[in-house]
Amino acid sequence: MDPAVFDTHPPFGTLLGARRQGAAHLRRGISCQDAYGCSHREIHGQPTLALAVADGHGGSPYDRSDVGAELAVREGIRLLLEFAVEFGEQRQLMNNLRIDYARILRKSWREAVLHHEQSLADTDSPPAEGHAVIRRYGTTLLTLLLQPEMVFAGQVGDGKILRIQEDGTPLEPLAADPLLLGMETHSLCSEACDKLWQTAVWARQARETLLLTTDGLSDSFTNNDEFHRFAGSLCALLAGQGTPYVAEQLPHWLDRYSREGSGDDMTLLVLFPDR
Amino acid sequence: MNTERPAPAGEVAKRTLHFFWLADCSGSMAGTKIATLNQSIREVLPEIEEVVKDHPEVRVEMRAIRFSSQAEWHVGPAATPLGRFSWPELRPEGATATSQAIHLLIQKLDIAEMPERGLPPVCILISDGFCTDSSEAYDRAIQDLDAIPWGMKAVRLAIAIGDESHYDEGELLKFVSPGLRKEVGILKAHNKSDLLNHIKWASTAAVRSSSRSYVDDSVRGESSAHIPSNVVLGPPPAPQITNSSDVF
Repeated sequence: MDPAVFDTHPPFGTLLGARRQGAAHLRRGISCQDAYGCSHREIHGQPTLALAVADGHGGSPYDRSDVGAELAVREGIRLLLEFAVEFGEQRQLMNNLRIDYARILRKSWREAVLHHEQSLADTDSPPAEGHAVIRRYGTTLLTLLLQPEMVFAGQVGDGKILRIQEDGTPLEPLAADPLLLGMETHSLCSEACDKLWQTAVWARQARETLLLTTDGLSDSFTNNDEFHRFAGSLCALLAGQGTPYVAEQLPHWLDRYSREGSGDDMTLLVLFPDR
Repeated sequence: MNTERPAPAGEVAKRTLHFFWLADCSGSMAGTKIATLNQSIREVLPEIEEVVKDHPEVRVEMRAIRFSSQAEWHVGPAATPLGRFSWPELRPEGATATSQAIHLLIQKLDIAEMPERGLPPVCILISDGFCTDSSEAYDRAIQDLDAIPWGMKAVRLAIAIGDESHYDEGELLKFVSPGLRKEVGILKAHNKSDLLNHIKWASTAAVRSSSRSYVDDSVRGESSAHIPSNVVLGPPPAPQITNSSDVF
């Protein structure tokens, strides 16, 4: 089994990423519908890092949601970096991300979806209209943009973004939506997805670990407290055992959580600070 | 995986499906009805386990409410894992306090009592007669059930036993999930075979439907406007032609 991808060269720390096909998906021969990505570069003299994870909904109405998740990650990261280029001053950048990012993301993702739809060779079937096409690509999306002084987080749908303090204390910058019950989620394919988009901005803490995950992982624990306990202990393992060890073990751990827990696909991105 | 190597903490658990039986044990259930009910539920438990085997990421936790002149926990209030659940004999006596039974159910469907990311609960009401609480009390119980998120999200089915003049079909239909009132309606058991078949179908189809919702995400993505009915059960079994001595 390949170790989790890890990159020791991004700004702000070491980056670990793993994406695993869920146990229920394996059993049914369904592909993994999660996606993740990262990109970093210097913009206006500032190291800038963009991260994203997405969870395609799966199921028959969302039969291209694996592509929808890939497109969401691609467009989400591209736009984060474009905003950083356009708005050089960090507070201005964060304000504009909060105000405009979701609306522009909605438009960009939909255009990417329609472009993908049009690019398919299967032109025999009658073209589906509007929402029927978009719906097939339905996905969640979680994003982070880091610069030296500030962090921006955005999310539509389920999944978790966690800030883990040096002592292991976890903070959720975006509260779970109390209107979502059980397995329900908001989606990029919803007409009003830009209204459902949640954002948070905070002053970057050099020694905090950041974690993004799809709901397959967080739902595998008995409750949110146990998920937080997992996250805190993961940081302790990174500090104590080292990144290569965790990178090697992470895919195995995720597979076990899926097998013994939710059965869902699992994707985890961890940015562990240099200490 | 080498389990001796350090691993993260955190208790892992499967997705929970809460299953509730609401069983009428009023005096009119005496005789063949209660005997068939007791036997049928015992017989269906292994069949539900078979359904769950197709969904190993799901664990079923079961409870039962019995109601006659009052409602009380038959198995509960703590939930029992399906594999350890057994059905104690129901003994008929008294009236039919259906609304009280629904109120007991509501207590356990409260958001604070349910798992954060659980599957839609399954609730099966089995009765042979009119609710003897006032009609206002019954309607209030249904309104309260419909007012809580997990009440609306639940797979709710009703089985009516015996002669149709002895129960109010409209009353029982109010208990059924709104999305199933046309598709399934009331499951009418005129005889022993019907009751056994309806109990088997309702419990296994409901568990199958609820369990499937975590992979066949047909409910996800567009839930922001309303809480949808996510129930796809298919048609119930046809009534059985049977020996007249089996008729309730």
